[in-house]
Amino acid sequence: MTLPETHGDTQEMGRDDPLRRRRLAIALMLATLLATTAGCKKGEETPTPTPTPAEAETPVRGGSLVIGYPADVDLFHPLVYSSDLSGQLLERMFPTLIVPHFQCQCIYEPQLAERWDWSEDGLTLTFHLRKDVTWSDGEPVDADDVLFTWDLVADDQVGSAWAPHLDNLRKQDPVEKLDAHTVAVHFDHRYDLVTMLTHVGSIGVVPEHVMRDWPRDNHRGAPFASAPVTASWFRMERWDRGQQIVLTRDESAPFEHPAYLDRVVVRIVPEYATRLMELENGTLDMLPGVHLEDMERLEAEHPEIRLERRGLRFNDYIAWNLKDPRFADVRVRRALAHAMDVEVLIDSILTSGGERYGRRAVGTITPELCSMHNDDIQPLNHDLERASALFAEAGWHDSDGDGWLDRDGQRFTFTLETNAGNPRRALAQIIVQEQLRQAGIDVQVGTVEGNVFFDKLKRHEFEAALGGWGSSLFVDPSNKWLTGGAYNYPSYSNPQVDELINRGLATADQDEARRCWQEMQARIYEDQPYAFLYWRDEVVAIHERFRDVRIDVLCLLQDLHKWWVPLDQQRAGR
Amino acid sequence: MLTYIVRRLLLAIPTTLGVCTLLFFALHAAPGSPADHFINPDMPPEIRDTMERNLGLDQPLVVQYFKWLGSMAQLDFGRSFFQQRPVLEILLEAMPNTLVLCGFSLLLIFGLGITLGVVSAVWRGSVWETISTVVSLLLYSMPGFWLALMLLLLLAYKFPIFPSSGASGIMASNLSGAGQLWDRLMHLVLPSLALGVAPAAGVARYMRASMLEVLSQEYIRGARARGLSEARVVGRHALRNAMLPIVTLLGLYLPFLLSGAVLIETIFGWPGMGQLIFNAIRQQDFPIVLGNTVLFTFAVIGGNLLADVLYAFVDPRIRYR
Repeated sequence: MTLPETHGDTQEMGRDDPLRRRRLAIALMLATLLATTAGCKKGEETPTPTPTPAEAETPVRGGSLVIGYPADVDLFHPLVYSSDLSGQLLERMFPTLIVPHFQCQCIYEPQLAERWDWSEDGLTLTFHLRKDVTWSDGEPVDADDVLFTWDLVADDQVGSAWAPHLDNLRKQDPVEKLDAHTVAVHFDHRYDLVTMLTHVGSIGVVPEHVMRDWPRDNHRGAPFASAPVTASWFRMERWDRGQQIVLTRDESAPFEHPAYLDRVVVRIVPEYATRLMELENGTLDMLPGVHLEDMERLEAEHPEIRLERRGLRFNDYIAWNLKDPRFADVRVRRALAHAMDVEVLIDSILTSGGERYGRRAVGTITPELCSMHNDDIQPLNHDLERASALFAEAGWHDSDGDGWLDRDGQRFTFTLETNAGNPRRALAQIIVQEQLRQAGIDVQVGTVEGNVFFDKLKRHEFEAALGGWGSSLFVDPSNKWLTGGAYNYPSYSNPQVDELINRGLATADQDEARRCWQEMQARIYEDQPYAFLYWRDEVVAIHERFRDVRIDVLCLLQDLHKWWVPLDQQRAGR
Repeated sequence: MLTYIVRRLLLAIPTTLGVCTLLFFALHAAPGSPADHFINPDMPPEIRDTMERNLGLDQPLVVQYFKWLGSMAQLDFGRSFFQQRPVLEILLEAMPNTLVLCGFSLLLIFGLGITLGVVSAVWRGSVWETISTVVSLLLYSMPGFWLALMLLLLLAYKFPIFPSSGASGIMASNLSGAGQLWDRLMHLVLPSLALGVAPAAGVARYMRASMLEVLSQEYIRGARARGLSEARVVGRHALRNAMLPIVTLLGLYLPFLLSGAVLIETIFGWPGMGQLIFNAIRQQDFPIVLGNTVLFTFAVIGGNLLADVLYAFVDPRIRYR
């Protein structure tokens, strides 16, 4: 529930996409295998928990965690929610058959399903459920709940974002209840086993006895969507809309152990300056999305606040509209890449206190997916001579000596647009404008309201656009790079890339998939439909009294049930 | 008088209708669909269509408009796209918070404004006048959001006296009745200050001018000549007459407060109508934006009407027909 792919940070705090966890996942069996193979080194960019003396201590119960967040959740319904915060919290409130961890890729561990097995033909997957899990109203969690969940997801009336997860199930009797705690799923064809497991196993299970009789086209408006019956580490204590959400420990949670923290509170504070101040005065314990410009001061003035890197989930790029004859020429796109100095860009906008919080991008697959990311791509370096040679090949010269390139009497000028309200992109825009000016390209900068901006991208009504993606943690580039893909903003089309994507998605062989993705990245980089800029780290601040905290690229609240506070540091009245 | 009020109220209907019609089409003319806020690149088009159908966005705009108009006539504001609850329910949840905030700000505006104004008029030429004039000019020229941030910095961070956000503390529900009330009051201080201080300075300027005018009247000289104490002259004779133009400001400040609340509520995380409309606009949650606007429009019209009525009420020379 926490693997969003979004349009970068216009919405990164605002929504989550369950579908996005579609592709990459590794079952336990493969995890063991992978751990012993070399392909999975952790880069220096990935956050590694700093060991503190406290880790040797024994966890104790008690204390609460107060998180500051800019926007309220929409619903507490794992099948139809849309806000990012909902996704983060729901994973701690509703059980899933399997749970992901991230180590170079998603690795799955049992949760509601204590084990699962495959039929010989690889078409039938059987889950054996735990028998000791109960809903917060006392009813047991059983096979009926799981079947009901899948039934809801598959029903178009519900409009669940998870629906595509069940696209590959057999049409006739796709699921089967073998007994009260055993369910079987039948697929209509074989593909990557891990992806098959992820598709059915990662959906939050909902209580059948509560939702059974509610009209299916109005689940978003149902009472249980705001007062949920849950079955995991935390349950809802109160929800003061627009103000705060209070979750309390569910003592009956059988997965590993009940949570150590008594309570998790999310305070909704829309204004960043207010959230930051509340972090500093101790009202908040945790603040996601700390701005880089505040980090040096936080580090100097607040030794009690720890700053954690979440990992490289978000990138920025410049998309060229390939329908524009000037950008249709690959020599021009490569020349533009040579004319830009991305390292300067990173130094100017992603560096704080001498430390870089970003790295150069060569594609849309995050470097966090170590085995899938192509580390061998040599980025096009800043080289004005090479740039002007390429421009000249494409017919662009400064024929009248005015400092600007021209062709057939037309000056090379275009508008580089970005979405309003993003200071980082606005700055990047200006730096790029200046860098291209030195190459004789006249760039006009424009800012457009966020919704309008992404609408223009979708309609391909732009010349050049500075946007961003929040990357998912599995690989499915079809929407971005397939010919005619819904989010193929540049209108890029390369039959070889199409073929690689289709092959990569269809194969059951991990090594072949890896080869497909690596080659795809190389091809796309060569074609430069985007000027790929950088991946950037999200920084999360948390008070140092919290122990065994895991904030990673996968989730803000990873293993929340294991977080704890030493007795002498638990705050009274909280 | 009654006919006048009724006529004004009836006139409010076409005004509100006009505002909302304009807004309805303006909102729908914006690019992108509200359904886009629930979808992502992977979602198949059928799901997006289902979403649009469920939200009623698949119908022609004119049909949507008349449907909306029809339900509005029955005071049904529709359902929020994002929260999927009746808009009226959501508005009624947020409204008390905004009313409390505006109420406290009004107290501040008139309490502080009148005091400053009277002081600078009565002690004209003294150091008190200079102080109160400088203070009110300073406050008047201060942008609300800046003042809000400075208040936070000073009174919530450097000297953590007041809480900085929300309408109540995290564990307020565990407090006693009096404790909860105190908690609420403490949370009210900074937002009401941020919202009310600038208009208070405005009121002070009006009050000063009005007071000076009254103090120069013949009957004030007469009152003094009769040997009345200065306190009685100022308090009884001058103040009551000087208040006349001030009272009308009450109605005019109401819409000002509501629009100011959008910003202040967002900064202080105050769960009122301002924060609601702010989020609704970002999420393209049309029913909430429209419902909120209807109420705001009523408030503006009602405020103006209140100003007129109050004017007639305090000044018997004015008669409306």
